[in-house]
Amino acid sequence: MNLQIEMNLIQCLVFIIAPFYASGILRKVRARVQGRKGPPILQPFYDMVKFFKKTPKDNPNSGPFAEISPALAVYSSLFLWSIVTFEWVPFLLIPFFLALYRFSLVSFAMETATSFGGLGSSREILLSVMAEPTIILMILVAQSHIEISLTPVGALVGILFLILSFIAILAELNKPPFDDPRTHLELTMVHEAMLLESSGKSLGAFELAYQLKYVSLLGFIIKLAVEHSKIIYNTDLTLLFREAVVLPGILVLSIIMGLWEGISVRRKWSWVPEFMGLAFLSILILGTLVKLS
Amino acid sequence: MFSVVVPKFIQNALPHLLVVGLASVSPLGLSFALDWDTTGRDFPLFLGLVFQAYLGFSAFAFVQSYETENQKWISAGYVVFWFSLGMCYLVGKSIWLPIFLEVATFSTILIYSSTGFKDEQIESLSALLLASGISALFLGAWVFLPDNEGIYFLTLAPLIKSGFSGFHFWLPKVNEGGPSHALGAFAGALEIFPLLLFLRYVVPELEDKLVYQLIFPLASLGIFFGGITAFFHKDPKSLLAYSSIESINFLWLCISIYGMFGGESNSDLVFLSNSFYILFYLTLAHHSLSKTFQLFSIGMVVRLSKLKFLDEMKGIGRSLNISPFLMGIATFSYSVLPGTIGFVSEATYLYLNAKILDMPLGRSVFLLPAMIFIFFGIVTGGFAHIRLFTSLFLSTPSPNLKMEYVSEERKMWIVLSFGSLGFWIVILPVALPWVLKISAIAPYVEPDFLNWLLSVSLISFLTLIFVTSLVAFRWFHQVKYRKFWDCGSNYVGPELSIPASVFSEPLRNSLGRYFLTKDGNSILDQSILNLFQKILDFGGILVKSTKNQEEDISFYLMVSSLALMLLLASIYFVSLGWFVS
Repeated sequence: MNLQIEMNLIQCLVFIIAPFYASGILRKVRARVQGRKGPPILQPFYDMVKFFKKTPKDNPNSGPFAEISPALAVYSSLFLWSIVTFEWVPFLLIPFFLALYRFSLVSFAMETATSFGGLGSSREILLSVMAEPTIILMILVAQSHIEISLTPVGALVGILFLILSFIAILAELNKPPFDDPRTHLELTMVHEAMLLESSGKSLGAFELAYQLKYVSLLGFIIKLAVEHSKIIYNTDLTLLFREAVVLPGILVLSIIMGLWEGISVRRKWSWVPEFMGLAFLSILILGTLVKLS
Repeated sequence: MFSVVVPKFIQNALPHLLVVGLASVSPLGLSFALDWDTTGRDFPLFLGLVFQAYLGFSAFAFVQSYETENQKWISAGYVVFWFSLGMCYLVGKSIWLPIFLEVATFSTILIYSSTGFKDEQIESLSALLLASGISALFLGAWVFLPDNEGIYFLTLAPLIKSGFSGFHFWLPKVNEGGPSHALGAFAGALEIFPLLLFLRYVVPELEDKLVYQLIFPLASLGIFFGGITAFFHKDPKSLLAYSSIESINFLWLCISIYGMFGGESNSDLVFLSNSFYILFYLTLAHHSLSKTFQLFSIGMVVRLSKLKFLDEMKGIGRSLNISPFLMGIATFSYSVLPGTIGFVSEATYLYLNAKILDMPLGRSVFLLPAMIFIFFGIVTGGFAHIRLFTSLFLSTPSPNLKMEYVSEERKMWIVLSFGSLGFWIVILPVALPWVLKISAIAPYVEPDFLNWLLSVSLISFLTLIFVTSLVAFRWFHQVKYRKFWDCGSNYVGPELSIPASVFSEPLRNSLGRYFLTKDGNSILDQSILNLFQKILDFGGILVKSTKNQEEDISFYLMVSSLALMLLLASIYFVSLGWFVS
């Protein structure tokens, strides 16, 4: 009983704390890599508070989707984050809330009928078409009881699997080499291009949704790694460890992500389908190898 | 009293509504008079009759908004269509089955009566009659042959009639030229009939698992092919045909797994078999309701714009002045958004895939390669609907785009028709805990699976409440202040909003070009049709010149007579017992 309470406490802590610092750390590390001081770690949070205090100004073409999309994006991301943290329903539902999140963004951008909104939507769909099968496959593995053995081959397969999964998550999060959010040039962006017409609390809601999605996917990959390896033994403490490792795990991955954003560039779009197709096939082959082993 | 309760626009169409309604509901009524085991083996047929009774009403409402001429003939066509299709369910293994199927198919000539029978409509009707004729032929063979031999003909007939992978090429042809109400009725009722027939008569009798082992990989390829072709297609009606091919093949996939593992002793395999049986019904409801809805809604804007290609119709749905939330319900379902029946179906499929991965080695490894095709097909198929909806209903239309005037009365029928379909798309997931108690399917729902479905139902309920409150009360945000952020040259609206091809073109080089020609036709289907054309043009080899001479008639008569004599001689020798072991 005590163990359950401790676990729930850790989960609640992770649920509340991680979205506040993860994105801030990424921005801080990225700035340091580029030789800048960077904003405070809680800057994304301060920005959101500022946005939520302001009344949005909408595009002349905006319609009903502009009114519901921001809240819908927060709803879907909140669900995602709660599934990853508390696991109150299976991970299998993650792709569907990602779909809801994506739909809310694309509908918002398309309704405003700006060239950037259209361009961002088109690229978002391109990335999703290629990344979603891989993410589905990852989640299937996460949901199954496949375990990677502690042999050199097993470890290699496991690490390769995690790297490929991480690449799919980079695509889903619109990070380099798929997108370049730091440029602030609308022509090179996906996520930001779609939100160009949002302002005030609508923009705040979209930002909040993105932060939640970001920590959800990082948290998910950490749980995927811990759950399916035999790094820890199956005792009561294992469950505690599994929950406790999420918070520092997100911290480490955010630092890696910051370093990566600081040194990498966006690749050309024609490269994306080929690369993601290859990633999907590789994950499938690795999955088959794990199953065969 | 009657005139107060029933709105005027319904009163005007009441005589037609009653006759068409009676024709679509009467087979269901007749089924009660038969000694049917509706909670057991006859459940698939009973369900088919329920669907057609309901869709009969929705299609009628849609006809009132879609057609402005020949409504009497169209209604007469639907009376014959619904009644004969219903009778196909009731007559069982008898000669009446192919006869009623043919009557249902031929009634579409009346349903097409407002189209003017141009080239496209003739091709559409011909494709429908051809597929139906071949199916009826095989059904006839099943009727007259003993059970153990005839069952293979009964397997082939539904595969052809439903548009199974490899037999599907007629379906896009039908969609190209048919009126949308007919296409919706075909997708919702006519295409599911063969599947239900197979489930009722073939699955309980067929002991040969090889049939399922053949259906499974072909269905996987069909999902892949249908989804990708739909994503890149330029004609909205053909796009929906390929989406239908994807859905139908998914239904065949469910049946194949149900049949393959049915009767096994291993409890895991029995679990899979039972769960895929339930998934079949969930997907059937999804396909029947959502595809009918899509064909109605997309067909409506195609009709109003009188255009053919998607890119030309950018933003046309916005001019209708009907809520995009209503017009988009089926798109939400195909985009697998939580709260819709499409979500329940796809989520359950993922759940069962995770179960398959946990199975012992031999059984599950063969499914992994199939996943490549299935996942890509499902994902691209879903995005095909997003591409349709966002470009047709969310983009800003050009002021030069001309659209037929839609009266308020016609709009009321649109709302009634789409509302009747959309209601079930969002209510079925919430009603799952009660639906699963239906005695015909309850024995197949195992405890683990029930827990999963209840979770999915709960999620759907929460999402539905959230979205409904958001749409109804707009409590988060209401558009009050508008401002244009000029990013160059003061362009705003139609010049900048994007057409559908902007979604698909970036993927064309890496994916689309292997499946579609530059004109937007399916490479595979075009090749099959070209092959057929070459076979049918075989007589051209015998023709001496392109310009016919008088004496050519006697030459052609000679060829025809020889062919006829050869045929008669073959029949004679077969009757003597030659060529038959």
